[in-house]
Amino acid sequence: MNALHLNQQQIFPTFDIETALNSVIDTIASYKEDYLLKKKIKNLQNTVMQLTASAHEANAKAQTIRDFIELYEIHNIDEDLELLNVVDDEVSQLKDEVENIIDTVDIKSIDNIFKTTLLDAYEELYSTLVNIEFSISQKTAQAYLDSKSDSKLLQEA
Amino acid sequence: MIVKATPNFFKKRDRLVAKKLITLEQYQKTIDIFKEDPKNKDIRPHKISCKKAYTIISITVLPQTQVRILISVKECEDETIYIASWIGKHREYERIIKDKRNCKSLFVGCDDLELLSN
Repeated sequence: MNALHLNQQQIFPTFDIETALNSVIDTIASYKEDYLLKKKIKNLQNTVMQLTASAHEANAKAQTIRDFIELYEIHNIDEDLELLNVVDDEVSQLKDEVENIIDTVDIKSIDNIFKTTLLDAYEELYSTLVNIEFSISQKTAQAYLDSKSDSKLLQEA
Repeated sequence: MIVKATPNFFKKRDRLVAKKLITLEQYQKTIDIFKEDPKNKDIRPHKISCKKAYTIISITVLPQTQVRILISVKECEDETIYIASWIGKHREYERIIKDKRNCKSLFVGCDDLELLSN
């Protein structure tokens, strides 16, 4: 199997980020109403920082994948496009999950620096994933055009 | 006028249809309009220039959906080649066009024109 064969569960954090984020946001909202206890806020801050760090970690890995895709040279159109499709499917799935996280966090009616920190991290990850998909789409199109025999396979839009 | 699309493009289109963000009829109507007149204002065409030789056109799936299509363009001596390579939500589109690393438009050699016509 080619080195690019990816397992999403190995590359990205495996815990349920969305559930954790929901819990954190609910807690923030709850604490805000109660005017906060310093110690609890400190713990909460740590949790937010951990979640943010997870997003940054995932983004760093996603950036590596993006770099790899952009430099990837296609030699065998069947094998390489199959490979790119695998990456595309996994990235697309993760992108949808991150988008749900962003929407979930964003609709909570609180204005808090924690929320901004979380959103910024996941927005950054989302952008990287979107651009990986875009790179793959360009790479795929180019592969068909570079292969004179396979270029005929391109369908009418 | 040659308007082709990649399998990857069709896969993404079908995902959007499955999510009910667009219908196949809306997609086809949009593409038909593009084939008739790529500059038709109804499909809100935007030109994304990256390099002198290559251009990407962005159009909106009608009627005023939040879905956009990116089409790479190559001007050849006697023909223009259009390759639909990406389709997605507007929030994704914004992130693509804002990223300067993406200014590497699809390369389409003029020598491939005849092959694409087959």
